[in-house]
Amino acid sequence: MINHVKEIRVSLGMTQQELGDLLKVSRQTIFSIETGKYVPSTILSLKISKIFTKSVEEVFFLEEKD
Amino acid sequence: MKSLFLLPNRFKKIGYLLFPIGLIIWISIQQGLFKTELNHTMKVLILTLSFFSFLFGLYFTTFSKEPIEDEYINSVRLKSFQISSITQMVFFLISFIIMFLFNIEPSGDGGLSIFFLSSIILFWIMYIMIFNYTLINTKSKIDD
Repeated sequence: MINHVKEIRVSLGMTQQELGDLLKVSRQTIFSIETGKYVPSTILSLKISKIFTKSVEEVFFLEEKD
Repeated sequence: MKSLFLLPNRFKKIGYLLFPIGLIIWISIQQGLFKTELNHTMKVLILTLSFFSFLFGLYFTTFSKEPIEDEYINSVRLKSFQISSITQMVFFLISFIIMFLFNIEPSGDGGLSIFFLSSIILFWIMYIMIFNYTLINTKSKIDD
């Protein structure tokens, strides 16, 4: 699964720490999601989309291999 | 995120203090490095206390929460457990192959218990190393 978390976060002028604080997760978690090393749970994906005021489909995309 | 069976974060520091101290004292007494005259009961008491502080130190280090315990940390925990389990299995397999090929047997009950004890300790040491390495590695990449 690929995501646009980094692009959207940067466009909103938000740091990894600020996003992490809003989601109550560590900065490591945000970094791992942005670099594609970790696929977040449905709950966390929905929370991220809610903070970005976007739909889940606008933030997360399925790849062909998924 | 709720995690079952995890101790508060402060236990991690206690664990990192307990397990090396326990291990050093245990090995030192076993190897007779302290030249003090200890009677048998005292020696057994110190050996038991040092071994259990080593063991509890390991458990405290393994089963205490990170400052922010979230789902990513849980996934790192799971991966570390899986790799440690595989390592333990490989250790068992290689040990038994070596024992079979070279006709070596752990001598007596003591030898056998040391073999099983080392395999258990190997599991926890591997877990602590992999878990911390993954977290430190991720942290260092963020700081870059």
